[in-house]
Amino acid sequence: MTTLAFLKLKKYANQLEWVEGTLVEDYSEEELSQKTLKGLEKAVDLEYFGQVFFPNS
Amino acid sequence: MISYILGYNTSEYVDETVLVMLSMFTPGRSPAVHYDYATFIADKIHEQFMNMERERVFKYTSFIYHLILYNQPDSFPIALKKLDAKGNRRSVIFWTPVFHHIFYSPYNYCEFIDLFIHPALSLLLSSPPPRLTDEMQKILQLSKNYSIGDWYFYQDHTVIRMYGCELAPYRLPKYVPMRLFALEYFRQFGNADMVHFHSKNKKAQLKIKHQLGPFIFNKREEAWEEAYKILKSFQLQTSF
Repeated sequence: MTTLAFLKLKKYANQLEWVEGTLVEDYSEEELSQKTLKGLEKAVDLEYFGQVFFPNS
Repeated sequence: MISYILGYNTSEYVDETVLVMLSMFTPGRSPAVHYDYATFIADKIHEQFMNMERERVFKYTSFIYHLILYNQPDSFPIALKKLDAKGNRRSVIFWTPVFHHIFYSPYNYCEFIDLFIHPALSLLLSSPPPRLTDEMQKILQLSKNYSIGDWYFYQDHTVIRMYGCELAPYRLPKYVPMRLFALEYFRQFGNADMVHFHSKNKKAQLKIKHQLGPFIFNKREEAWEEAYKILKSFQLQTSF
């Protein structure tokens, strides 16, 4: 991290709460595609027939 | 009376608080008794590690959280599917993949805490737990003259950074559990201590005990490595 980037970051240290327009995660392309993939997995999992509970089966 | 004014329910913390006040508000004069804050921090962190083997992170509480989820599903900001294709109510453990996968879950550790544990705790307590408790903030920033680290509130994560640590900090969950804070504190302080003091044959700054939860160690490095291994198992991303 460069000195300039660190000074910019330091400005937001020890805040009482997150304020819009301050610190936001700088996700890489890979992280963003992972998040999309995980989102799909979550949705698919909820539809998965194996989850359906049959008390008498 | 002091307990009441300070908002404590018991007198447990009053002696510590009074000693801190004595240390802070007598400029130019040393108080008769010095408050040993380093020991206080060491004990707090040690306490978290000692309970880890018995409690893990959420081992037993997950049963209670299932019940909370079942009774108040609208309080959780996660996708739930309560009914099957025929419109019958399914067993609560199948409502979300947060729990029913043992070895793999599409939810990562931070999401699990922020989307499930925090809403559940908010329902259990009188007010929602803060992103970083007062205790954690005091450990990092007791006063202007006694600060050992900073915290950063990102939109979806929280990051702590100990002064002098040369490791990239982890992206912790938005709402940080004390046990996770203790591990990250220990990992970063250990590195700072090693780089700037221990390796240069100076007196170590971090007071630690020879037992941390389930493991006993002979060298400081061994304990830091264990903390690192536990954190690594949570598959947290690094920040900065």
